[in-house]
Amino acid sequence: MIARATFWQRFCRYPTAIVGLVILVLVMAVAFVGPIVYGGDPWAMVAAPFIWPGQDPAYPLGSDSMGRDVLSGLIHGARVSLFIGVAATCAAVLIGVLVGSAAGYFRGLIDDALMRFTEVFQTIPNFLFAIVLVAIFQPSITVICFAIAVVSWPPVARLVRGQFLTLRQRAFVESCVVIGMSTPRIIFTQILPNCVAPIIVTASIMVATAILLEAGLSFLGLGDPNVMSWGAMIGFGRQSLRTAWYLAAIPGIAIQLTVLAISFVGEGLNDALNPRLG
Amino acid sequence: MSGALLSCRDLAVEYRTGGRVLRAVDGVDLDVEPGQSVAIVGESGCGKSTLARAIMGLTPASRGSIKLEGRELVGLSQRELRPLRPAVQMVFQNPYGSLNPRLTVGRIIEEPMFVQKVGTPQSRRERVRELLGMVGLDSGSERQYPHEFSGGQRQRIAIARALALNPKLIVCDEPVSALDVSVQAQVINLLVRLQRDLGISYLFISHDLSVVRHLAHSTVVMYLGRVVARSSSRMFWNAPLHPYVAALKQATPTMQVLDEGYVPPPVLEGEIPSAIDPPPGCRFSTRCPHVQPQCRESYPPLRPVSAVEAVACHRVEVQADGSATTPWGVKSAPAAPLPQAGGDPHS
Amino acid sequence: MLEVHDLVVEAKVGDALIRLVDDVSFRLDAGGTLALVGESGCGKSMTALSLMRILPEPAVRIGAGRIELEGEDLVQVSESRMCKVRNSAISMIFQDPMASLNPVHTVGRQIVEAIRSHRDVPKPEARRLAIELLRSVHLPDPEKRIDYYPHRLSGGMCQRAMIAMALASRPRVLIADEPTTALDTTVQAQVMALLKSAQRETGTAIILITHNLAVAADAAQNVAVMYAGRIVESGPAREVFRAPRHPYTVGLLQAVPDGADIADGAEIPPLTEIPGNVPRPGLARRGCAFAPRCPRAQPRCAEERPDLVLQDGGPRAVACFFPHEAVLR
Repeated sequence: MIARATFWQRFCRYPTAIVGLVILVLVMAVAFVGPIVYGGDPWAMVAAPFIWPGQDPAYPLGSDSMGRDVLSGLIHGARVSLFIGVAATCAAVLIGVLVGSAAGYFRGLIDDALMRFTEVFQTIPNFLFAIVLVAIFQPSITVICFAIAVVSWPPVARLVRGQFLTLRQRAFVESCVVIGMSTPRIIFTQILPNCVAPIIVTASIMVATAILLEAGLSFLGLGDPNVMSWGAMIGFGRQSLRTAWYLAAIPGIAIQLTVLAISFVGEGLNDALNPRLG
Repeated sequence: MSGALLSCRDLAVEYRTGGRVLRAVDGVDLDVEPGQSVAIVGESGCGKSTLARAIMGLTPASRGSIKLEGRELVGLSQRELRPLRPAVQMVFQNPYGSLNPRLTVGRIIEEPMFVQKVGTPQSRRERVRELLGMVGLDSGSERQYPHEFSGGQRQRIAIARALALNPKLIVCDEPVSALDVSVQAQVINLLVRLQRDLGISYLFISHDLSVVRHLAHSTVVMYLGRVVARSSSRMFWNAPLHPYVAALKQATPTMQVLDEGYVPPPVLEGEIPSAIDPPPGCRFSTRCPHVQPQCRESYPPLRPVSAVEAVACHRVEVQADGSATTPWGVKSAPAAPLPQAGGDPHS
Repeated sequence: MLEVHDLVVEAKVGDALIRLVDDVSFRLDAGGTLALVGESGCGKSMTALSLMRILPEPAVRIGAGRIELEGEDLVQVSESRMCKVRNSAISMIFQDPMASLNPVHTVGRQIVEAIRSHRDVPKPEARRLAIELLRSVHLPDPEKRIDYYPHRLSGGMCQRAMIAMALASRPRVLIADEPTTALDTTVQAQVMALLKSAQRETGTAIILITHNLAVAADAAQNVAVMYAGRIVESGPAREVFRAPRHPYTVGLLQAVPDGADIADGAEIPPLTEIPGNVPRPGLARRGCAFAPRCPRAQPRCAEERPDLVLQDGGPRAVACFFPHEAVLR
């Protein structure tokens, strides 16, 4: 058939994907390198309260109600948000893959049971359930990741199940049964690698959702009290929304940009990972 | 026949759908001798693919026995079947779906040996190269991916994989149906050559009666789950006794149309009946041009009508001289004895 | 009646423009049948799609050439004019009949739609016509089956319905793209017989696309053999198949199982292979595309590309510097 474009060529077909990737790389750079370069403790009350951005060159993004440096918060918050986004997504994907692959491969009663189980989780409103979980187990980064993972895994399970149902029928899987391959080996070495592309695309979007969920939880005061995250910053800024709206807007824009960037990258990945012609 | 490599008796595969039973395979007897090819021919719904899958253990048999070198396969779990797998391997119909797109060709061919814990990594790699050479692909192929090959080449890869464990029998499920004409010949000739060199048996599933002649020592024709005709004669094609086989032959386009005096044969009307609710009596009675009342009342058993042919038709008569005839003028001569094991079906 | 001149169909892949159909010319006489024969990638289906101008644009488009249907060049006409031409002057049936019918509409609705798209007929009248059409293609119980959804019909029945739809407007040309490949053997024979009788009745000319030489030999008066986007041999079907000139045609005929009865003690003639593979579309090449696989190839074949040349003033034409002379059958 006609020679296929490489992964990068396909990815770069969407200018938005390139833009998204650039923004994401910037955010990740800020998250990793920022705290080292910029230093300082975002919780430290270093300035007068409610300095507007641009007013004081020492605090380029101003200060909040307690005199904390907004820029410092933003930089440290990047790390937290990204970490929670990625960790929660990894956990959700793991659960979803286990459930979905079992349901899709074995079918029958196992499939029915697992799908009913999945439906239970899917029908509870995500955010409310997350709130309940965090409230019960006391807010901390671990609990937040766990809660987000618990509400996010059902779509992954359904996706993986659908892939397994299809791929299981394919001749190359049957040819593995014919050579005497064991079931776990078939699942992990034959079928799963062929599902990876849609899982990656879904996972990339889930990172964005996880960041938003975390922001929401922190906004409501259910974030980890020891950690400065973007959501927490919005939460602190809630009281002063009418006067010092920049306190909520700045982290809000940061979240928005990151989520948008991830969506664009996901779109590019969708095409790049799709093994079709050209 | 006790010397048979593979022996099926009264094999049946049933599916239950909504309270009714679909008998995809309904009582089939089959024997494959070592070094011989048996072709199974039929149209959709005849059960040939289901039969192949039952023999391979991909679909459980509902009834009957499958004996591989005397060892019973029906009722065994996948784990129990595993050590028996090397003896029977399979080549699938779709060259585009039967190879894992994410593995290299070398890995695909090595996989059976790896799974069955045969040899060392070194010896396995040697064997992969040997197998690639046997099927006519060059050794650089082992680093490439399936999508880089054409359909015919992929089937060769599939054949190489099937050979990896030194099987005694390879079940080929319509291996050439999805290939171009010029490539079909390559693959069929390859299969014949491998049989001559390695003594493998084939169970060759096809819908094309004209192709199987070039490969098969004996031919089995199925209709709606049952065997309607079986022959180990090369003259099977010349004078088919069973009306369905005759209809199949007539419907198969061949270059005979160009010959002088060619008379277009009658076209068989009607549709293949539903397998859930087969017609009473002979299943072909709804479409048979020679149907009689007895055909609709009782099912004609598969009975030998000559030294080399068995037919499931009420109206075929056995003559004193060992030939078989039909009232509509088909005469099948008493044929030559079975060809030798491992011999070329052409000779 | 239909004349195709120097048709080129191109596909844009990345930055390159590759030719899927490369300077193809042929003619179809009124009421006759022309078979376009070849293997995968030879361009026969693309040729058919370009006649109807239903190529998957903009990736694949007509690059050059003329398609003259009774004098009108279909390559140049507007899309709205082409809509009128489609399914009234030219119709098409496809390989997979189940996929050609919309699964969420009944068969009857689709036929009625086809009838009313080019004729102003009230719905009850169109329905009556549809039932008659289904009856004319030997669909059993048309009054009942007209209200069936496609999944309830077998492949053969769907193809009959498609033929009925395609011939409803009595088109000048019917393009049949591998109409029997997806069907069972006995059903194939029924559908081919139906096509032939329908042609006798309506006088429609047929372009039959197939990879099966025997089907072409049986159904067509004229044949054009395609390889790698070009026609390599053409002429009356009987003559081309009995005395093929191009080495590819010879190779194809020898690779196909012969249906002759075997005399007692005689050998079954083995299937002769054509070594190598069908070339993938798009590889730019000098010389004859078949040369790498050709047993008669000479150095000249790798350098120059042979044009399709009339033999002895026609009607046969071959694109080869060293054509065969002997008769095969």
